[in-house]
Amino acid sequence: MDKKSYLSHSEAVILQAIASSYKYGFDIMDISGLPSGTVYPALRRLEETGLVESRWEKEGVAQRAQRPPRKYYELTRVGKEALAEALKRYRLLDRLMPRVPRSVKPSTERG
Amino acid sequence: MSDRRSKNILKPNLWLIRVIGVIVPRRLRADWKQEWQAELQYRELMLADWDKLIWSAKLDLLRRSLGAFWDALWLQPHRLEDEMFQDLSYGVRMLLKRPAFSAVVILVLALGIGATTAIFSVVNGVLLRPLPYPEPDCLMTVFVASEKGSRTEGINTVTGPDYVEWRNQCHSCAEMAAHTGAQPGNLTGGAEPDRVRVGRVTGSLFATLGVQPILGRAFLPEETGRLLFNSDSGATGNTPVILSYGLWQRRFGADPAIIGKTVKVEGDACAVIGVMPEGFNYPDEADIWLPVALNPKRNNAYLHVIARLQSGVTAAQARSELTAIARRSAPEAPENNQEPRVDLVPLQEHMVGNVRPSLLIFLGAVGFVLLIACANVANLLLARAATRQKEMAIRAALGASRLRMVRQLLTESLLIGLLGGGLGLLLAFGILNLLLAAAPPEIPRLNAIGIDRWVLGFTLLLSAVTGITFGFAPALQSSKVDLNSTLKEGGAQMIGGMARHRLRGLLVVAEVSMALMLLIGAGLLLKSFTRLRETRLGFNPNHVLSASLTLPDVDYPTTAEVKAFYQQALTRLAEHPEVQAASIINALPLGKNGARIQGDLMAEGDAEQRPGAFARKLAISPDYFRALGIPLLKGREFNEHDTADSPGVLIISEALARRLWPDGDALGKRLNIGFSGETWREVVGVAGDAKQQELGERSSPAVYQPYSQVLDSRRWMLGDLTFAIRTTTEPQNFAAVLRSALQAVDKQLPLYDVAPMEQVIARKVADPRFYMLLLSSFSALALILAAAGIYGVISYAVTERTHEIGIRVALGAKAGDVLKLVITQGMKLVLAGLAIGLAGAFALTRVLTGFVYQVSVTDPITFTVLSLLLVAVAVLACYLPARRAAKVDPMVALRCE
Repeated sequence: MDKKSYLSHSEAVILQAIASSYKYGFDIMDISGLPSGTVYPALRRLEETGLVESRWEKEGVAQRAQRPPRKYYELTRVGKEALAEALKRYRLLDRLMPRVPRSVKPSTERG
Repeated sequence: MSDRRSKNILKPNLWLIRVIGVIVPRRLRADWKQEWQAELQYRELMLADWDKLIWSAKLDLLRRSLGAFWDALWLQPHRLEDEMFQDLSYGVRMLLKRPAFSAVVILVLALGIGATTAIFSVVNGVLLRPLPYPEPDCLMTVFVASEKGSRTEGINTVTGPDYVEWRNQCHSCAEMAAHTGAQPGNLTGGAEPDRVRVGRVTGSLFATLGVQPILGRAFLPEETGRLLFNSDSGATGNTPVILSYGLWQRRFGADPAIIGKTVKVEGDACAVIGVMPEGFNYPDEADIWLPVALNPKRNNAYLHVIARLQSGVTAAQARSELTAIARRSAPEAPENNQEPRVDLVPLQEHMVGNVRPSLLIFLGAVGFVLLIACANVANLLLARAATRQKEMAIRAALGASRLRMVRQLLTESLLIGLLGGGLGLLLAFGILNLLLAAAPPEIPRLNAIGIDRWVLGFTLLLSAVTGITFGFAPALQSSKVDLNSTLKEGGAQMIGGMARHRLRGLLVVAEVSMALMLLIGAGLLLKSFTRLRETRLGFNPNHVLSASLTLPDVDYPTTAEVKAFYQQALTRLAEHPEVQAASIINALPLGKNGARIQGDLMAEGDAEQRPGAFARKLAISPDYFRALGIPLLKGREFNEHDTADSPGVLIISEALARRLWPDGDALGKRLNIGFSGETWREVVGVAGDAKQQELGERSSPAVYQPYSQVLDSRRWMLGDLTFAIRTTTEPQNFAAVLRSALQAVDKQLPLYDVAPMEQVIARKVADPRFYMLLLSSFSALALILAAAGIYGVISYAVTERTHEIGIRVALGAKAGDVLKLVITQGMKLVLAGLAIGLAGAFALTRVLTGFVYQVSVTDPITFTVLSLLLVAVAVLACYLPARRAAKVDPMVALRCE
């Protein structure tokens, strides 16, 4: 896939954030420090090129929390390859964000 | 949950999402909204309840929800599969299907938008675009307020000491500078002598404006402000001079080693120390800059002062500080018990203030043209709407909502608007070039005019707004469909007919009234212009060549040398066979060069200054009256016996003679022309009046003295003189002869403003001529568009009424009856428009008050004649379709359905 060679730095950061289990928009913004005006369009772009895919949170989980269901993003196989490729170019990326400890972070809650 | 939902409605962040969601393509909207709402609500939940949130958290949520906007923008390309795109492609197909109609509509709009864009780009360049200096808002013109305290009284010049005190003491100003404007001067040394505009400025001028030389340096403090008045310091030979970029390119071939070279300005050797960047030519289009001399006298106000305010300081603060300084320095009672008051006006306003009214008038006028164009296009669309009735009905029957159809139609008109705007922009380039070529050079900042991104934005907005404006009514009209009757055979023509007719009628009324207002405005200017051209000049400009010359102080330091030069030149010229009379004068009638002096006189025997005893003071050579064809009414002309040593003589103009000696003979009376050191001089002749300053001036009192008798102390009066030469051949052809005759006397002197006298007068009317031409072309365009509008409406009405007319003819109506019927229908509209237009013109022509000469802005003749013209054009526009109606064959008409 051609796309991975053209990953911009912010796209790489977003992929890395998703890979580190920051799975939805605001979490990605918080950990990456990128503004929402960058994160969302980038997510749409990544989704269109097949590097990430999204799915809706299960209704039940949302209802229990009294809020509308959220949209989670995951890396696809191509996305993971692209990220690995990007990590070679942006070496510090790996150390940029801590991996989420699964037990604590609410955002990894699965329905 | 429902409680929670009702709370959500009030939250601004969720509101934003809803609002922004409108532009998300509908297919994706629900999904999109949910994602954003979920994110925001979850974030809020994690923080606290909205009401308990601190402000910064609320702001953060708002900021985040604004991010949705960029997200939504990114989704816009997805609209391609959306309704809007369908509308657009459908619109394009509709336009292509009727190419003639589309072309007419787009062309009409392009004319309106093009003219408006061109005028707007002038307004933008002259009035709106900030001055090309850093922080232009801080730049002010500083002056001593006139006694009446009104800014319109004009900007007064400032004395040397005032400027020095202000500059040294004022804390509100970061920088202050003074200059004396730019005057024409001679640049010699090297090839041809050159005529340049010399700005005399203090060294702080460049720092005040925030502009630095691109080569070399600016003036040092010790180089400026020194008192190099008169010519005694001129001989030092190292006066520093700075060149403009244009002059450096043009005359010195952009020589990079120009710094340190010597040029001669007004005969004075000057060392080039710097070159300014491209486009910098403040003040008054200066080509070179010399240091200004500061005169220490308190009675000589000759400086223009500009200042840059400290950041954060308002003009009002600076005003009060400077006023305080001025009062401190003038403590002993001022002459007229008037405390000095200092005022500030933004530099830009000072530079362009005098053209603001005229430019705004033209923007208004061109706005009318655009409105007429819009009305015309709306009319055409309404006419077309009738033919599309069935199409609309079918769409409605297939389930299209009214909103959907209005949107579709608006998309079409928006498309037309944008196409018209695009073509209009191309037209605007052409119109702007014409405008700039015809514009009088007195309009300030002409070089700042161009089509920039503001103009482009303006055109885009204008196209969109006009597209929606003219499209709205037709869209509402045609989307109103009555399915039953429309789809029935033959019903199409009746539906919405009345409402549509009324609307089209109203549009025609509006067009006619606006066109009439423009016509009357143009008519007034035209009449005023003809009056101006027909003004009795008092002299005969045919076959007269004028040319100005400046004798540098350095080469001709004394009055005697100046006189000797001219004596020699005039003798030489008089010998030429083509010359009927050769003369010189210090200030040519209606010219712009030389010492233009106007002031008080004393008549012998008067105890004190008589009111009305003032005149323009002129120095001439003996043949002047013959050269210009000014009649000598009494007495004698000057002759070679009137020399510096003979008794002083004067010739006065008829107006002055009447004023001073209303019932007596002026000859033999004695006058003092009111300069220091003057004695009584005898009036030996009375000459006819000649317009001196303006074509519109009421009276032209003048006093002439022989140039040979100008006192030695007043060399300045003879510094710039103008030749006026009556020739037997075409005056332009004589210019070369004149040049060579002068070169024979002195090689280094450039003649400037060489022009036939007729051209001098034409220059004088350049402003009114330009305004008149501009408004005339607008009104001609308006008249054509309005006529087309009337024609369109009546022509369409005739088509619609063919059946009815057929019945009338079958029942015995004559061709004349049918003609009358149709023309009456049209003229009703025209007369209504005429009434409104006349009322509007009475109200609006008031803005032209300052622009007309010897014409009332409610001039009844202009109002009547142009109303009649409009009626005539309207009758013609109605007659063409009426004739077609009169030829209706009843058999054909009754059969046609």
